[in-house]
Amino acid sequence: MRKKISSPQMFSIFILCFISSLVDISFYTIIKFASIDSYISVFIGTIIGIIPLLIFLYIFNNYSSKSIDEKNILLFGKIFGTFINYLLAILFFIIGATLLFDISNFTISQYLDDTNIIYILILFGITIYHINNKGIEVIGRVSTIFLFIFFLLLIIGEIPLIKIIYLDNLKPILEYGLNKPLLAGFINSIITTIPTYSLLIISKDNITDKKKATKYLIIAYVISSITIFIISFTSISILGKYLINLYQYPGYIILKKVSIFHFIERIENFLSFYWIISSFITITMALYYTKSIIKKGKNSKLFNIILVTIMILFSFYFLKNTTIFNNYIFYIYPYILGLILFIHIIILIKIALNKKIIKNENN
Amino acid sequence: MKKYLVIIVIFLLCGCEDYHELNKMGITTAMAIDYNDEKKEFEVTAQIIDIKKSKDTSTSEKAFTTFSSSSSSIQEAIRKITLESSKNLYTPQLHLLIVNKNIINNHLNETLDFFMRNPDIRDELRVILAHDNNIDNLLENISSFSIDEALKTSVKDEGIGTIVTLNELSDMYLNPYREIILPSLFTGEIVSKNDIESNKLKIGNTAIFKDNKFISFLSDDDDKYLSIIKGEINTTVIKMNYKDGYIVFEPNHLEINKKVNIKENKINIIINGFTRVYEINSNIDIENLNIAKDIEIFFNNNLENKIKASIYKVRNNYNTDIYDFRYLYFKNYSNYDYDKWYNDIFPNLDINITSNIKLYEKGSIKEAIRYEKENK
Repeated sequence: MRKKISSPQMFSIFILCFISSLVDISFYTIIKFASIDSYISVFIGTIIGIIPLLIFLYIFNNYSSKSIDEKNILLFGKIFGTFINYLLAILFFIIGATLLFDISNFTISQYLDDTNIIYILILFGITIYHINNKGIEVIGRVSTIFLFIFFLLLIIGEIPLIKIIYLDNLKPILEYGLNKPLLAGFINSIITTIPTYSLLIISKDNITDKKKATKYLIIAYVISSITIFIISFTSISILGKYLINLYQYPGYIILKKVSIFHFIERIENFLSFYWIISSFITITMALYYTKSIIKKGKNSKLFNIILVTIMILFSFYFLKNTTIFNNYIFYIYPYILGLILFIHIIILIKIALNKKIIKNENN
Repeated sequence: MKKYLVIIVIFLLCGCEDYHELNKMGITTAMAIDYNDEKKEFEVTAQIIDIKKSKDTSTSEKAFTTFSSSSSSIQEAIRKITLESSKNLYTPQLHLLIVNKNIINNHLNETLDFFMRNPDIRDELRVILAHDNNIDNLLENISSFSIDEALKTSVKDEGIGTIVTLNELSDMYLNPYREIILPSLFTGEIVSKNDIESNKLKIGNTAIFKDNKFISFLSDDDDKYLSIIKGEINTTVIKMNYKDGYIVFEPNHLEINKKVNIKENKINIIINGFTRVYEINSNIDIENLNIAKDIEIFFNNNLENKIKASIYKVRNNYNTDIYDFRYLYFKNYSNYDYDKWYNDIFPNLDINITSNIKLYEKGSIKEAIRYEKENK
């Protein structure tokens, strides 16, 4: 099984992982903090998010022949390195389980309200299991196809909304000052960028055109940031202060207003598919990350089944319902992502120190 | 392994397991909701498309049936309708919700919560207030599509009434700086044609509320000016007495710009747009440039005065801010003492209207018929 992917495939995975949390998790958190100033938070988050991106790029570009788990062993030794690896594996597994519950819950609340969530979890689980069996190259190819579908749906969904954007709904601007939008921006930067760290499981040398990888990742970050800004801006300017706080999925609700040529209507379920496909890739990558660390890069179908089953059971038994989930994503999930960021900051420092030591030794 | 996967997927993707046949579904297009204070129950009436009759074009029978039920909650009442009609109510096609004053005054929480929470119900659903409190029989003789069309025509072509969606109503209700306004519906006497009884239908004037309590219905003119100020109007008809007769104008493509001057407690409203002349019953030479200009100036001045007078009249009579001036203030000055809005600010609010509407069209004939008759 090939373990190499191309830069455009990495670019696709990055964008989909970045955007996957927006419609529910990120929106829910930033709207709770910043209300109609959420679009400002997204903008601030984009600027703050450059820091996690630079951390990602630094770790990615150093020790380019090694994946993150191998780097950890090299940097921290076998015992502590393995501990960090397993901790990261668990944290990414939780990200995957969170998003799995998120899209399943969205599906049963908006599309299939008579269906038990377990069926949806299993359905998504089987697909994720299957793609994981195929390895990173297939994930990369699927992501590239999904990215085209994603932008096609996004364009079809957003362009008809331009005429109903009401800029007055954005007022009053910064009613409660800049503190809350700043905090929301910081949280948003974590929620959107951290799932992309699952890409660190691929070593730079496994990128076929690795010289272009950094450039592609930076472009992906810019495109993703613009995309989430557009989605948040349209949602807030269309719904206004009081409705944006009312809805669980404001990004989906505005799609109900899409009307193309006044006769193509009621296509919100079709258009909102962009969110499902982006979440699907993020969950797949989270599972691939966990599997790669625990099985040390080897593929095991049995192990994949076990992981997917645990993920489904975790989602089903721990996240349970929307109220528990909303509390979890507001009070716990940002800390989980924060912990991942913290670990990667330590990795970055360790790499920097090692480089300095090697440099001193050479001198 | 793949075989097992395929088997599992076949079972999971079995869409026939919980299917509903079309003739077992009650495709609901409209609902009327009332609250019985004595029984403490919601009374729900649903208009359902009769698929067999709607297919049969040879009969002039109504293509819908109505079912009513009551219960202590809206959802329970709807479930009872399902039992009575032996059809599952299918609500994604629901496009009209009729309520009465009692619902808006006292039970808007329950009503909005039910309709906004239900993912099958579209938030673009239009809400309309029945003039008559007894709305049980309202949907029995009038098709929801007729009501909807009448409402659209009234708003679009006359500027009377307003279109309020479920989303909009929720926003007006939740927003502490806005007051509720709703379009209204009259049902006249029952007329019989080809042995089919049907009610005469008329879209009434906009109903106005204060603190979510019904106050009154606007007059025709006040309704038109409200639509103009809110920038919701497409076109309307305004008759103005001019010299020894009158002229009927049809303003269109109106753009409204509102600005707040908090120091002077003043709102400046600038109206830009176009108007055409539809009827001239005055002995004037409209081909004369000066007279044409004079008519334009006259129209703008007159419109400014009429809108201003209308706003002051509504304010003095009802003391309710249906024009969303408070919300406009809030958007520009969020740290203002809005508790004293109705005591100090709104009663003393100065309104300045500037109308820049251009006269651009006068129809197929050059002069007025009266002018031709009396002068040539």
